[in-house]
Amino acid sequence: MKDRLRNNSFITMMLELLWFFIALSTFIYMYSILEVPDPDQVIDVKRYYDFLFFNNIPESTINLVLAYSTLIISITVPLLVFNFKFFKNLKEDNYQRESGYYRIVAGLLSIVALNIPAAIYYFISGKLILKEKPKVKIEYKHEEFGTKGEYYRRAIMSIIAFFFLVVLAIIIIIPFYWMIITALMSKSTFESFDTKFFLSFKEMNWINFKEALVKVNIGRHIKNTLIVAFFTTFGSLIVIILSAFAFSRLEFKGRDFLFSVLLMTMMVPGELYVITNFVTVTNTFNWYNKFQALIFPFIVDIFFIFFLRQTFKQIPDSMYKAAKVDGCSDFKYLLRVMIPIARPTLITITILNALSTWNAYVWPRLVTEEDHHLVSIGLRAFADAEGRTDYRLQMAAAALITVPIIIVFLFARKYIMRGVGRSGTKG
Amino acid sequence: MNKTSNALINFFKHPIVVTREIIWVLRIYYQKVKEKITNFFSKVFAVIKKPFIATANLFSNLYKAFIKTKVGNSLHKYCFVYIYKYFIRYIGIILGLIFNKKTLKGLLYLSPAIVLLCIFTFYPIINSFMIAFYKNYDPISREMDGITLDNFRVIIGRKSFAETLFNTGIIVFISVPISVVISLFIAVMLNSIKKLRAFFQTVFFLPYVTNTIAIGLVFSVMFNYNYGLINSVLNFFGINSIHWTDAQASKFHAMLTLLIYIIWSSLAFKILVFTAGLQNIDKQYYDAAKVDGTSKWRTFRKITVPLLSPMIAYVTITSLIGAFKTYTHVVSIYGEKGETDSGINMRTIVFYVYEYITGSSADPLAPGYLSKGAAASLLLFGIILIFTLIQLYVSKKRVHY
Repeated sequence: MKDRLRNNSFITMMLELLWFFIALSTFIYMYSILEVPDPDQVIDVKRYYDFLFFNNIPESTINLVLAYSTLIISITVPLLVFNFKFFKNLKEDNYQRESGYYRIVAGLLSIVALNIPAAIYYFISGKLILKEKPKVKIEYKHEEFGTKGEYYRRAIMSIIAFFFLVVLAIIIIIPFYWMIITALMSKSTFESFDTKFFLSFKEMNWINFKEALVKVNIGRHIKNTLIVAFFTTFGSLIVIILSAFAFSRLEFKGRDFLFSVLLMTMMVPGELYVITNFVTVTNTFNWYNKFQALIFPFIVDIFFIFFLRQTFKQIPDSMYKAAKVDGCSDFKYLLRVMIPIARPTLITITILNALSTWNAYVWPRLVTEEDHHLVSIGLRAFADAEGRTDYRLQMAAAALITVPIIIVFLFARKYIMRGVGRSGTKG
Repeated sequence: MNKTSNALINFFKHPIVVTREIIWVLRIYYQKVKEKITNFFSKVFAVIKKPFIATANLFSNLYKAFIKTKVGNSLHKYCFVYIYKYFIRYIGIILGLIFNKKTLKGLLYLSPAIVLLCIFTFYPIINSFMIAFYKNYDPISREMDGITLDNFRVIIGRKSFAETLFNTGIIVFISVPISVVISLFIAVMLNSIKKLRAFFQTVFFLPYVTNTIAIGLVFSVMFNYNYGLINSVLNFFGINSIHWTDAQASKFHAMLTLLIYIIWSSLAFKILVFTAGLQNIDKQYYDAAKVDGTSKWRTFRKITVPLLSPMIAYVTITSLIGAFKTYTHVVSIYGEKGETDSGINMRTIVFYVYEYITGSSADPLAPGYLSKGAAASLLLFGIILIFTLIQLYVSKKRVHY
């Protein structure tokens, strides 16, 4: 039984993976075919493309294929993750009846994604699980739960709560949805006065993203941001680990005094530093329009030192003493014991650091010119200069820098939310 | 005959000569490689050395500039000289006290952080406090004409100052309470459901991670007069389109747009903190309330809010500070000038700080220019400090820890 389930989920995983790569390569190929329209062009022009052995394919067909492959990718990736988790849990034999339902839903989703073999495997395994774990009826003998009136009241209350939560969630999601919809509109659709809330797959204009990439030059901005994010994160990890170790394990005079001074400076708003830092960076170090100006001021974040120190302090003292008895030096202890134990916190710090570089706006704008701009400055400059006339390209550029963050967030949700709960630096 | 066999024959004929030649060639190669390596390292060292020398110069220049002022000069003459004398006399004892092995080790681990903090955090704080009071301060030569309060007077005397302060006040005192109440409401509801909680938490946290500028652009498209989503929804309900952010917009509508955006983006953090706090509340309290037949509203008022009050106080303080520093949100909708197209002022106090650095009209390093920015930042700091202290005082009386 368990072996059958394991084989089943493994085969499904492979099928999903195959389907994902097919969709991805189709997407990339189709996308590379599309031609960017001339800058002077005002009206939409119907274009025809030739590829492989097909001739005169209209652009709407290509858009349809692109949209469908995006849909397939966005369905298969979560299913893959879900399936992988299920596969891992099977080893410990802890699966419940609910996972049977989940697998049937996954089967329906993979029918939508046109992955019929995987859907068949999902249905088979779902049926197996549902057979294995039959439904258990619980009869409440307690008065409070037994009476029908109470039951209905609870049901109505939870329905109301769900209703409100769904409405609020829609309000939160609408800007993202609107951004993507606007980015995909063609010029005529956008400028017609009856606003469209939904686009059919054929109407989606994937060329906008390519045009935005060419016009806003967002590729270079992303490259710059990645360079700065890498060096800032790398440097700050080293500095933060060393200082958090000194504050949590080493004992010397003035340690607590130093730490309290650091905590005091967290109260001071960043606007106070900016003016002097501007003089230091541009005049003393001569770093105007260089990457150093974006990297060095942000290497030390006091909050992260504080955060890592808390984690280091939770590691029991006896471990340190045992290591000392065995003749382990401090640095070796830090490398071999503390860093592996504190790995979740370090991952959190890495992600938050990279995110803050990705979202940085004020300081990078002060000390750089166009060839060293980061993503948000590039976007704002485009909106001021050219984008006023074309909101679709503006939205396409915004989507290009928002979607990667959302994907990273969905994968590293646990780490990010754990870290942010302790801080309070924004909003 | 090829070359290798020739060399071999030569080697057997005159072994000593050939060996000497080989050694000679190797020596030349060795010297060349050595030269290259030393060159490389000296270049690298020169690059690495730069910031350290610059830092040392910075501090020595700073001290020289400090001596040039009246106060600094007198301090240097009458105070520091004596301190220096005694310091020299007892330096051995002091060094012995400070730099024992443990302290040295600690400082070694802390040194990168301390160096960076000194340059980019501690020194700027002290310097900003000083240059805000300098008259005609020149950041390049570090010279000035004395101490005045003129910089503050210039900032406060600006035409738009009252309106800017008003804008900041509105943003702080409307967006913070509304977003705290809404997020408390959402958190309580999230706590009451069991299924899909993780999904809703993920959705509500999305605004926190996304780029402020990008989403601000989305909002300005959504509130567009012609193509926007909001106006078409209003039209659907039979209400006429409204000018939200464009040239014909009134101040009320422009502010409303900004407030909606700020509230939308600031909910995420608060919901996260409140849900974490709610999960820590002991279930026994609720069971006791249930046994007594307490109504839900009363349970919320008498149990949830008091037990959550430390979290509420923390969130309110941090978001008050954050709201006073609002800058990117305004820029993302109304551009770097912080004005609508018709020139309605939407700026906050932070704009004054950055205005003097970006300096659209003049060079930011010109004399007397940065001091005004420093004065503006000090004003901001003072306002934030006052409100934080008030908040702390109030919450000390009200919060149940």
